[in-house]
Formats: sequence, C-alpha cells, structure tokens
Amino acid sequence: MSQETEFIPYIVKPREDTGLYNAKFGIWLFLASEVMLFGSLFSAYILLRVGSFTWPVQSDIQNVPIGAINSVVLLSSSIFFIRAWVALKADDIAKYKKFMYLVILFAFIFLSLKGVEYYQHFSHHEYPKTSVFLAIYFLMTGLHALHIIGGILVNSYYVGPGLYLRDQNKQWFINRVEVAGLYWHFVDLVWIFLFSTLYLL
Amino acid sequence: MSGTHDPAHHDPSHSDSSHHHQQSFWSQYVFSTDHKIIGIQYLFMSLFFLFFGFCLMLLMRWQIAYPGHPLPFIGKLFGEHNMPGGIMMPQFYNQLGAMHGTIMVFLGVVPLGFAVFGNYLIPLQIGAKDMAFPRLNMFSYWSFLVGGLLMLSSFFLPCGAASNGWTSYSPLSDIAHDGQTIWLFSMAIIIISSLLSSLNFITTIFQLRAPGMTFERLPFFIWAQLITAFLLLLAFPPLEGAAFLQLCDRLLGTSFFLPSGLFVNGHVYDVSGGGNALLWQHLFWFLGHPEVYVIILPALGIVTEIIACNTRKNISGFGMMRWSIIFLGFLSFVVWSHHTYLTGMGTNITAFFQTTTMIISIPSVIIISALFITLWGGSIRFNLPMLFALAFLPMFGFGGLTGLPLGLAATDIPLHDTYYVIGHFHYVVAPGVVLGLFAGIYYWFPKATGRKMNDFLGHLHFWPTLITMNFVFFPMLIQGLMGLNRRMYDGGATYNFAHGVLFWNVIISWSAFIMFLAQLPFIFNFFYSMFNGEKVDSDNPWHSATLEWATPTPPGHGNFTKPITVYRDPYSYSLEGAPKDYSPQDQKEI
Amino acid sequence: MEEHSQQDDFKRDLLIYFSIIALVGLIIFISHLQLKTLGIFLIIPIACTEAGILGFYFMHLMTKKRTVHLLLLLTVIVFITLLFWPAWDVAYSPRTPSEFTVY
Repeated sequence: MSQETEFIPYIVKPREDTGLYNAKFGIWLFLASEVMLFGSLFSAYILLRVGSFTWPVQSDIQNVPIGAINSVVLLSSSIFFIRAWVALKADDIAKYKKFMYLVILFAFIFLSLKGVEYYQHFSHHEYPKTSVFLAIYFLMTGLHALHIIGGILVNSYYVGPGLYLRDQNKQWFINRVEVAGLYWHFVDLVWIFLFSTLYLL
Repeated sequence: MSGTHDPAHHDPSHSDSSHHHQQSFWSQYVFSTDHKIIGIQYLFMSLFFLFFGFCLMLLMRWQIAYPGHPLPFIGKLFGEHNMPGGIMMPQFYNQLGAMHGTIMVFLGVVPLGFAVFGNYLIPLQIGAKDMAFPRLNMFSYWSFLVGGLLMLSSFFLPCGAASNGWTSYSPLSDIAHDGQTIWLFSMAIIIISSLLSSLNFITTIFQLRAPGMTFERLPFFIWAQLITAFLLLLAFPPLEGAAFLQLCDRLLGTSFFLPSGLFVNGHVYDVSGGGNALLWQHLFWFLGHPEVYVIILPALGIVTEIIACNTRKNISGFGMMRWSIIFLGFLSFVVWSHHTYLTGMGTNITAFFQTTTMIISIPSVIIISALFITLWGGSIRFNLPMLFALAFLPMFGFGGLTGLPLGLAATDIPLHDTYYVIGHFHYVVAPGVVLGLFAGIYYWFPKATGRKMNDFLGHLHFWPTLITMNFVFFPMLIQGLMGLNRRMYDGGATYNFAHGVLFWNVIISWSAFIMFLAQLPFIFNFFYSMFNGEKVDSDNPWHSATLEWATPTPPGHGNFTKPITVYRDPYSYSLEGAPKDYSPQDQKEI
Repeated sequence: MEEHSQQDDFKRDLLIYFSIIALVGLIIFISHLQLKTLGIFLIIPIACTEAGILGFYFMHLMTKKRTVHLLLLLTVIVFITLLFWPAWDVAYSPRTPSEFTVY
C-alpha cells in the first residue's frame, strides 16, 4: 500500500493550504450529507407536527429513563474512542485495543437498550403504523441504529482484521482511526438531537 | 504530525504503468480503480440508458399522435397486458412516462454530464494522477450500475414499472403497485452512489491540484463540476430521506404522506392518517430543483472549454462567471417551491420563492452572456464540437427564457402541468444540455482514443438533430399555452378546449422519429471511429491550453509523464508576445 | 498541534463529558415541566449547545480554519430559515373556511 501513498499525495500528511489530509476532508463532506439526510427527517417531523391537529405527549409514550441512559452510554463510547485514538498515537496498542473494545461494547449496550425500548412499544401495540409520531420515531431511531451498526462494523475492523494495515503504514492507520472517530462522534451528535426532539419536546 | 515514517514523499516522475505488477484483464478493465476507465464505463452505461429512455419516448409519441391505433410491427412485442393487439394501454403509457423521465434524468443525462466527464477529466485538468479515493470511485460505478439495472428490471414485474411520473407524488405513489417500491430502492442505491462520487470529486479538486494550480487558474469546467458535486452532496439526501418515508408508507403501513380520511376505491383507507401529501412534494423538489442545476452545470462547463479553445481567446468575464456559478449553487437551494405554487401555499411563502426564482435567473444570464460576448472578436473555428457548443447557447438561452412565465406564480397558474412545462424543460435539456454533452464527446474523443470522429457523419448527426429538436419542443410551448395537459395518454383529446392544437401532436411525433434516425450516424460514428477514425497527429490536436492535453494519448496510469507545475490561467490564448496562439498552462515560457 | 500532556487532555475530556451529561439532565428536567412552546425554545438551544461542545472539542472543529466555521454557520442559518419559514407558513395559513380572517 505504500505504492498508493506514493501515487496519491496527502493520504498521510495534510495539504498545506487546506490543513487536512484527504480522508479527513472526505469524511467532513460525508458528514455534511448526513446532516442533510437527518435534517430532512427532522424537517419532516416539524412539518408533520406543526400541521397536525393533535400530537401525543411524547414523554408519556416514550421511555425517557432508557433514552437518558442511552445518551450517557453513547457519550461514554465517544470518550472511549478519543482515549483509544490518543493511545494509538502514543503507540500503545494494548490500550488502543482495550478502549476500542469498550467503544464497541457500549455500542452494543446502546443497541440492546434500543431493542428493549422497541420491544416495550410493540408489546403495547405501538407500531410504526399506529400513529405518525410513532412512525417518525421508529424511522429516525431505526436509521440512527443502522448507522450505529455501520460504526460497529468499521470499529471492529480496525481493532480486528484491519490491524494489519497499521504494520503497512502507521500514520495512515492513525488517520483512518481518526476519521472513523469523526463518524462515531457524529452518530453521537445525531442522538443528542434525536433524544431531545423525540423524547423531550 | 508525530514522527512516524512518512512515505508520502514520492518520486512523481515515474510512469507507474511500467513498474506496477502486471494487472489481469479483470482488474485493469473491469474492476478498475483508474478514473479514466471508470469514466468510460459510466459513458457506455449512460449512453445506453439515454438511448433506452429515448426509445420509451418514441413509444409514447406514437400513442400521443395516434391514440388507440396499433403500433405497426413492434407493437405486438410488448405483450397482451401492455399493448393488446399493439394498442397501448393507459397503464403502460404511464409506466413509459415515469420511466422515461427517471431514466433520462438519473441514469442518462446526469451520469453523462457529471460522472463521465467529471471522472475522466477532473484529475487530468487539475494535474493529478487519479481521484483522491480510487476504490471508492470504483464502488460508486458498480453501485450505480446495480441501481440502474434494478430500475430497468422493474419493467419485468407482473404489474410493470413505476407509473406515477418521475416525481412519484403521494398519495398515489404510496398506494401504487410494486413497481414503485423497486423505483424507491433503485433511487436509494443511485443516490448513495452519487453522494460518494461527489465527495470524491470535491476532495480531489481541493486536495490534489498540481503546484501552481490556484482556484483562479482552474478551468471553468472544474468549477462547474465542483459546484455540481456540492449540489449533489447536499441536495440528494433529502430525497433519500423522502424515499425512506415513502418506503415505510408502502411497506410498513405508516402514514407519512397519507392524510386522514383518504378515500381509495370507494372506502376510507385503513391507516392511521395524520400525514401530509405535500411533505413528499417539498422533500422531492428540495432535491428536484438543485437536480436541474446538476443537469445544466456540467454542460455549461464543457461548452465554456470548447468555446475558449475554438475562439482562441480568453473567456470574457471569467471572474464574473466563477462568482455567478457559486451564487447559482447557493440560490438553487432556495427556489424549490416554484414547483409547488399550485398546492395552496400561502402568499408569503409564494412571494418568497417567486423572488428567489427571479433572482436565480441573473447568474445564469451572466454566464450565457459571458459566453456570447466571448465570441465577439474571436477567431472562430467551426469544427464539430464548436457547432454543438454554439447551438447550445441560443437553445439553452431560449429554453431558460421560457421558464420565466413558470417562475412567476401568477402566470404559472394556467401553465402548470401543461405541455408548456414539458416544452420548457426539454428545451433546456435536449437542445440545450444534450447538445453540450455531445459537444464534449466529439471534443475529447481524440484524447481518449487517439482518433477523431468522422466529420461528415458528425454533420449528419448535428443538423437534423438540431432542426428536429426545435420541431419537437417548440410546438409543445404552443400546446401548453392553449391548456393542453401533460401526462395524458390520449394526447389531450379528452378536453375540448385543447382540440385546436392537437394536430401538432402528429408533427411533433414525426419530428421525434426523424430525430431518432439522426442519432444513428452518431452511434455508428462513435464505434467506427474508435477503431478506424482518422488518427490525430499530436497529443493536443485542438491546440488547447488546459492540462488534460499535456498527457500522452490516451493517458496512461498516472496520467502525466513528468511533474506538473502550473504557470498561468487556463484560457491563455493569443497572449501578447507568445510564439503560438496558445500557451499551455504547464509550460514555463509564455 | 497543541502539546498537552496526556493527563491534561484526559481531565479536559472528562470535564466536557460531564458538562454534556449535566446539560442532558437539564433538558430532561425542563421537559418534565411540560412548558409547551417555551419548552421547545429552551430545549432546542440547549441541545444545540451540547452538539456544539461535542463538535468543537471531540471533533476538533475548534482547530479547523475560519472558512470552515463561516461555511458551517452559513449552512446553519440557511437551514434554520428553510425549516422555520415553511413551518410558520403552514401553521398560520387557514385550513378550514372558518379560519379565514378578513384583512
């Protein structure tokens, strides 16, 4: 793969005028498109809610405690990711792996709690087709959960089979993990808005 | 960065193809990560889809001109369900209409303008060896192909393809047959592919410019591709969101777009209700409007390149053009509701969108005017690419002008959903953008193949196409002004007030059939010239100053054979004191 | 690149973590008060603040160039306008004949 870093510049070291290396530039663009994606769903929520005659009291239907715990869980996983990246930069692979495993574990905890919530809704006969509020709730949190699963896959790769990439080019691997981290923080950021809007308003 | 070994300092002079391991046929030509191969893959795919969409239109035009008459010879091939005895059923007509629009826009014109020319030329024109993310690029192509084939496969469903217009409005689309579900899935795949391509293009343009290539020295083609990429990146996700919402309505029984109390087939539809059909329209058009700029901008970029090169002078008002295109990009996000004037919107919001729509015509006029003004005092070479580029200017300008009554809400009231709208947007896309894209094919063909396309066949393609296009779309404007409704499978015979203009249907249809014949010389020319065309005598047969011509013909892996530094502006033609009438960007001496 | 020691960085990260959690707690409390419209205007800005803190510190947005900041700000302004103008129009446009007022 060093052929590739010789072929295409700024994979590893940043370009002077933009201050970024390619993948970081690319991931910010990707995150901008994700903002527009979730943003369109938020705007659909606003238009549906403003345009409707009645809207349920969300905190009555939602399980706010589980939502709050999930917020803490995801935020913690973000912090663990930062610790993992700092350890990676300091060449401490054991610590990097330990923190990455925590990130993945907490992501699974998030998904399990979400699963519990969905199960609670289904057992009360609250399905997406029951009301517009439930429909938008399931869709937005479902899409978010898919993003979490994607993040789990990427993070697992970088702490598992993907570790060989570090032997090929250390700095490139650090950059890859940093970029995965930016994605992960973004997923956390979306959750903050989801929790505020779908549980608390 | 921390002190780890950094192999980023490379020897740029190596021509990598000779030093790389021997690649198999599959990895070199099929699963290639080389931007030029990917561009050519997109080219074959989009030209095929353009042809396919064109054929769908020809079927429709038969029905419109001769409603209820069996289509001779090929009519029976479509089966008893779609065309019993060769006579078109309304449901089939609707499928043709929806798929013609979808395929032409999303699988034909946009990939041709953006993915083909962008992939092939962006690294070449900025002095880079490839795109920033070559493997992502390959993934974009293959997912695009999968999405496109999925879209085509919907024709083979028992109920047929999507038939609710390319705009798929709710509530009809929510309750329509399965073809619509396939449409939604294909669109989701195509959108993801486009998003990844856009981020690849933007990153490449920002990060991989050669030394000396400042933003002011970038050719306008690159500016156009950059803004197009931003539009795709930011405008497509809301349609993706809307597609998810509609899929939920169709598959999970939700009511995002279904209002309470909706009557379907005589009874109240059994859903929770509470949704809003207009929500789909707003989400769709939030993409839909930037989408039309995505269609236009690459062609504007191509035409600018060709005009500069073939007038042997700099583009007049190049700086203004750059600012205009940036401004156009921003504005294109705030005009979408001119497509929803007739949905009962409040007057405040209508006034807002009408104002922004009027304002957005300003940058487009500036750009077209700058191109017209560039012609003044130029040494014009009337080669084939230039003919197509010159035809683009008045055609696109005229098409744009016909949009003004649609942009003004009051005059839109009688014109909305009539043939006037069809005439307007086809004028900008068909005699406009498509001519610009053909110009690009004729222009860059020698760089990609080392041979010129045949001139005689080119004229045989150009003149009849230009003339027939005007005979197809101009009468539509007249029909629309008389109130002829769009999307009517009987050609408008239902409404008495339209009877006076129905005779145009026959003229339009026959012009379209002749237009089809005019494309055959192009198809033959394209394939024939690849192998037997007149060979070009140099790497730069058009004597252009931009960087893509500073490569071997065709460019190899890594594109350039020596390190590139850029010394001057892109359209350095007829400079004072220069020995030739063009001064290549990478040449140190003038 | 700032040359903080690992300990300083860790303390700073913990501080940010706990401040975001505190803000989450605050909005849960506000939601509990069932303030209707006022609630929306309190909760959303606080959520934006949480997101801002996360973005700036965790995503190193603080260290990005000024142009990135301005572009993001512009995007946010456009986005908010686009969201609220149609919502206001939908909310205040008459839906039944009895809602038509005479101006």
